[in-house]
Amino acid sequence: MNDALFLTVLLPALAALFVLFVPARAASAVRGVSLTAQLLALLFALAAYIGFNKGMAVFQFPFAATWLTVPNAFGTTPLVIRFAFGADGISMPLILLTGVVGLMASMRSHSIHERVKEHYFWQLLLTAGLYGVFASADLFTFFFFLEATLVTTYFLISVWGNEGRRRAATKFLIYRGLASVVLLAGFIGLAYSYAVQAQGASMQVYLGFAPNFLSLSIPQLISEAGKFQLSIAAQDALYLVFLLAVLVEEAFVPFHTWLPDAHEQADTGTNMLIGGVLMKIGLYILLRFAVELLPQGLQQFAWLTGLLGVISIIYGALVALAQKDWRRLIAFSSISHMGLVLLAIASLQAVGLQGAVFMLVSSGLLTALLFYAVGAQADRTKTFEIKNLGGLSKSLPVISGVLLVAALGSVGLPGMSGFISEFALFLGSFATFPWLAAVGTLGMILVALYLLYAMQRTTFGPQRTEYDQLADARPVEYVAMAVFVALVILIGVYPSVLGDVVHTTVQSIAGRIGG
Amino acid sequence: MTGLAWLVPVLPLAAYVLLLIGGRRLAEGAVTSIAVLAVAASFVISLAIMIQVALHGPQPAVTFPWLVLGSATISFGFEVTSLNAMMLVMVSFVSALVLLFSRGYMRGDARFARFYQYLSLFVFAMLGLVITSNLLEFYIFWELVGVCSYLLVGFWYFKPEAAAAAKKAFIVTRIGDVGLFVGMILLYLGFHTMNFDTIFYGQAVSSPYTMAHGAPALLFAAHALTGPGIHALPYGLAPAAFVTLTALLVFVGAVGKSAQFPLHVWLPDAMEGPTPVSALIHAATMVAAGVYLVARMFPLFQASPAASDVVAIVGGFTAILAALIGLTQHDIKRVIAYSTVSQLGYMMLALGVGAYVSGIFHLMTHAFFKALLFLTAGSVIHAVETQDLFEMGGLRKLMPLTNAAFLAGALALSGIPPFAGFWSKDEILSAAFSSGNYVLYAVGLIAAFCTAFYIFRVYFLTFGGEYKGDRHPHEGGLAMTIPLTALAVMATVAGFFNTPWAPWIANFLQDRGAVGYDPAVNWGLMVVSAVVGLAGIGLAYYAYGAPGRAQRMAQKSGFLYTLSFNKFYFDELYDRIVTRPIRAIAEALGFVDRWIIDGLVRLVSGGVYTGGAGLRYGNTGQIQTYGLVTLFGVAVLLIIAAGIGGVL
Repeated sequence: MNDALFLTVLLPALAALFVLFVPARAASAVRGVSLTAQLLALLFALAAYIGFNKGMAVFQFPFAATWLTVPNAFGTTPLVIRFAFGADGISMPLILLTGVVGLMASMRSHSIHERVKEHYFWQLLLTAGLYGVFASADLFTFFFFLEATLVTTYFLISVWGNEGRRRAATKFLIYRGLASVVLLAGFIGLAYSYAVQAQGASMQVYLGFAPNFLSLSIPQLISEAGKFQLSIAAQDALYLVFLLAVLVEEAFVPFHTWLPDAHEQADTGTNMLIGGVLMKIGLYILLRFAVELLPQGLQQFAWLTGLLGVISIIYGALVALAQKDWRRLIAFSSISHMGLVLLAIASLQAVGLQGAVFMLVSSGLLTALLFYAVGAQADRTKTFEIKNLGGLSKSLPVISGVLLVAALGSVGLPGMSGFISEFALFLGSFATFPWLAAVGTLGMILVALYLLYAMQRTTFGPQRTEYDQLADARPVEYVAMAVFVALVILIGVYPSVLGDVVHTTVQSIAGRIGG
Repeated sequence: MTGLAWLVPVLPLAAYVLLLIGGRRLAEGAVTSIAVLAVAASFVISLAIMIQVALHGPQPAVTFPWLVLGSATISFGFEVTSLNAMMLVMVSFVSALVLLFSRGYMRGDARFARFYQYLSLFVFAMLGLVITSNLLEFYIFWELVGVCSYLLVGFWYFKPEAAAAAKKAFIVTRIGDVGLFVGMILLYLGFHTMNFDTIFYGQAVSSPYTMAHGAPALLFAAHALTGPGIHALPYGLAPAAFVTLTALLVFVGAVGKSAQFPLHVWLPDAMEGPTPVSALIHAATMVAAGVYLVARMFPLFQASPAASDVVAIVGGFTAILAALIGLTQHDIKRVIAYSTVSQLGYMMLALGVGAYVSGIFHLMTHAFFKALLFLTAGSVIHAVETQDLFEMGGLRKLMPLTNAAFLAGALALSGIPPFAGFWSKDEILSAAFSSGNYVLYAVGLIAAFCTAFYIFRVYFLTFGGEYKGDRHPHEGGLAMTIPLTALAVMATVAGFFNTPWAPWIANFLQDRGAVGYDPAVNWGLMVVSAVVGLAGIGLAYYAYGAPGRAQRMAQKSGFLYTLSFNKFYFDELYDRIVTRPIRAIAEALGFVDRWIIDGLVRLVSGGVYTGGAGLRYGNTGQIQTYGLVTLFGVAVLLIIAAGIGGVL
């Protein structure tokens, strides 16, 4: 059972290697291997989720293997580079999210007919990378997998995207590459500062002081954070480094322009993985490292962070209203929703953090579903342009219905996962920043405006003659959409299915940082 | 029986699920039977519950934990109080009849089963909203009601007007919903609970004495303002300010849902949906939810005189505004729609001046006569296939049953004794008068005059004179006439449930102690009300009894007529000051985003793009770019690492 998390990473990675040895002609074999690996990985993720001890706030399912030892790194002490895995109440739901979206994206990629083998190779590696990011219990491991997602997504966009794909892929690579660099600096600073502090060295340490031990283990850093605090100056500086990395990584305004471009160019399966999972990593970084390890730094800049969140909420929603392409609209919608999470994290309230995790999961499912449904209609109408659509309810009742469910879910309709997330988010936000939160609630109106406006032009209205003869959802599409809809409603109606896993961890964090 | 109360909303939900799964394979008759029987069963159970409450009093809420959030657990559950027992009966009764009526009205529609499916969900949402014991759960149903009305108003999705009306309804009510949402959050931050009773009385109420407003509202005031065990209120607000703020935010939600000024603009457009939907929205569900919210949160409003004044003034203003608009509209459904807005204003006015019983009583009588008016209008539209009043006429002889039913509804709406509306509207007016709100009383009286005029204008134009169309109007089948008859009977007699000599409803709602303000009987005011109503009818008869008179009256009133006919230009105003500016800002930001922010990015990164362009077609180009970035990264990294070392 302890290997479950490790296996979620290993299986897709092995399958990717295996796919390389399957002849390119045997496309269905490639699809079969990929689907099987994704399904197995999902089952392991599910097993871990079910077996997760909800009463404990520690990293569970630990698995560690030493990869490299640098002897005499610090005097006589070696530096040990490890692959370490584990999950707590924050990462566990995101691991399961990765599994669900990964499998559905793999199913969706059935419509890829060019360079099939390579597509699945990169998709499987991307999935492995995403699992790895959320399942890591070690700074090095985390960074390794983060870079893996970067390269793989780059290839997925640049080969299987639309006309402007190379440009979009390069933009994606540069932005997230820079974010990685900044993040790496943050990681090194974090490990170094905690190492220095752990040895009780004086606050005035000069460059060149070599700690005799450098821990990259996340659980260990967390436990040290429970024993002592880094100096305020160090926390402030490191927090700003992390914040910068997250702003770029998560496409917050004004570092966001790469995301709509990437979504507009990428194929639907890749969009599901980017929008559904990859775009949750940035805020996960903030939750994992800033909230837990740099609480005072976050507190210091809480207002700034919250403000940046609100700017993204409003700006993203307004710009979404002006979009003409469904994919760009979803991209800005996602930016707006992630702004809510940033605001809630800045509130440093236990409820707010719980809402943040809820929203990451909810937005992951709903964004992936939106991309899926929009992609399904575009397969048939050959367009994502809102103005070229209309009256699809007639010829595509099922796909239109699912699109409506996804849109209403994103609007935050109760009974679906978005509502309870927003409720918890705003509960935390209003407790800390009433004015910022009040401005943020405008987003709740704007989201209805742009999504219902797009719906009105897509599924409502008189049917266009060119769309008379479209065939509605195929069985495989039924299954994928039904799974998403079921999960979104399950969380909406019975949020404890998610809340119980998250709660203990979040409470313990809040207790530690005094939120 | 109260233990089975959860069945009341669950039965329509079951019908929804059944129709969702198998609806398309069933015949129209079977679909109707499933939905109607489910709601009829809910009605029977509700009736039994109401009798039980009358005999034994309300029952404590049944709750179960739903979600652990922060340091508290949010529970869900249901309760049976005098207020919601009555609401359950009213909602399920009217809904069952509307569902039956739809059998005839929607016959042959391509999505017949889908229609019943949505209706069942709508009824479930409304019954759930009424039976819940918890504000968060209430909000969930509240939004679900909104979504169902979105689906049903836009049911004929291929009509552009219907699609636009559905969107408008959702977005305008959404504005109100955000107010309620914030109010709910602030109440939670203040009281750390979502249970109605705990919010109001500081504890889960176990003794029936305090249940459901049987408790003197002052108890809440004591709890909220001075009571022990109260948590520090958020933002260091003074108790009185906190209560007023939250009450107003809650009211914003009610303003949206119950189509009060300034958010009244969605309701008249919402008649683009099929007529049975209008009947449901205007009578038993949707708009009733806003009034029910204020009634359920009554202790909060009682504790804040300022908030109550706002409720009363908004209500009074809406009542007269909508009545004035109703005078001149040409579309039969639009007139009735404005009359709903106006009548809801009366209910708010009642609750605002503290007349709790009168407000709820009017909610009930209005549900009967408004459903009746909409269904008769539906019957007329079904027969003549137009909604324009000036293309009808003469239906009195052609459709005698519809004629009688509409007449009963119109008399009830006009407040003519002994029809239902007379008793409830008179109570509201006399409450306004005797509580010293003379301006509001006068406003209400003028609105009552306009009401009688506009509804009888509709009556004379539709049923009087000669038929102007070229079709052959006739009565609908039994599925349409049974509901009309039942509602006509209720519109005629429902007023006797609460008369000055037999105030059954007042006793029922207040059997645990007085709630709010109950005006003493004032026979003089009653006579005034009746006379004003008759005068309105008389004027309508005068205007439409002879050809040409109405036009001359319209001409004489000049720009006032134009104002009324154009609904005081609210739609145009909102379009200018809200819709278009938001669009313009969005377009401008979209431009800035694409050409300025991203333009800058492109400018800065121009080098990278051109550098990469040469390598674009080589497979290695991609790898090289990545390698370049990584190399660059490591360099920056080393510098930063050195820098941080220095900081420490």
